Amino acid sequence: MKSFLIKNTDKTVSVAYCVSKNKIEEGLKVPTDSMSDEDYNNFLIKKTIPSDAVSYREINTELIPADREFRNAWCDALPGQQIDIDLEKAKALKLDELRAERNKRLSFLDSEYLQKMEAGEDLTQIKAKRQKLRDATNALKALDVASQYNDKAKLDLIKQLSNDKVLD
Amino acid sequence: MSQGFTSSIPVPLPVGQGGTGKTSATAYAVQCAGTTSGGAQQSIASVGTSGQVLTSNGAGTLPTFEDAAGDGVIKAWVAFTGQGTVAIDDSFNVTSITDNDTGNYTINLTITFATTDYCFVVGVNRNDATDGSINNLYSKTTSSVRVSTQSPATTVVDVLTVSAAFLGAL
Repeated sequence: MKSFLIKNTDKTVSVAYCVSKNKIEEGLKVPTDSMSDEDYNNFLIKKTIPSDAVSYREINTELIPADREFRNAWCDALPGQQIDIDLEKAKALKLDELRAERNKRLSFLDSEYLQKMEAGEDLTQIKAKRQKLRDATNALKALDVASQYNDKAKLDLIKQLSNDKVLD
Repeated sequence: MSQGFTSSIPVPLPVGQGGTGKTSATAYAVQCAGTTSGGAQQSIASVGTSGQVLTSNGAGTLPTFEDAAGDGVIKAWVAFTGQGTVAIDDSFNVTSITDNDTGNYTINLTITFATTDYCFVVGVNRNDATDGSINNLYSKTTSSVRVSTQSPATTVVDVLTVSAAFLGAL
């Protein structure tokens, strides 16, 4: 099975997974093994590669990461056959996820805050909780990953700093 | 001393004696029984073309080959894995699937529909008993569709499997 790595205009990459030559022949209703390898390749490209793609290349499926946690940070930036991971994008992805979860928890706290305020209760603890949630993204925000790719230790750190536990 | 043997096998051998009642047949033609129970076999008029199906024309008439492409027939389908190692599990008339992003896939067809008014049906499996999936048609051309799969909380998510079928006029 052939696969292609397609570079898009927004610097993201798409990965196309193609069917076998026999499957194409079956669809086109031509005899089995009547298509040359070149015709097969040209057909795949014609049907699969978008007209606005920046570039494309064939990629060995073994080089496609099975871990899709940072899928939207995949890119084709460095020399070599591998798919790269843009750490700056990986950080932005995780910051977005963390903020979404943090905001959910803040809105719960807001209603709790109002109830306590109306009841004239002590707000010190709840204020501290809210501040902790607001500060939860600071460590990840401070992580310097500009123009860096594929650094496993940094990716692990991004995971660690965006784990829900930082909100507890 | 050998005993004499006189043969009187008729040519062509009649159906009643286990023959076909014919001396020749059209190469590759489908053979049908005769117009009576003992009548000579008949070849249908045409051997058809690749992909055609044999359709009955009712009793008393030979069947004929014709195109299978009625508009009610599924023209293409695919089942693929959308999580972990993305892969086409099985398909018909699909050239490739493209993983564009998390929960965003393009299905590239081998065929080309006459217009973009064709019907496209998709189902997904998220392997999650408590959470469903909303499948959005992202864009559609005569030879491809792009879909995104979202959780009910409108977060785009990868799904375990995607199954899709296409119907319409080519």
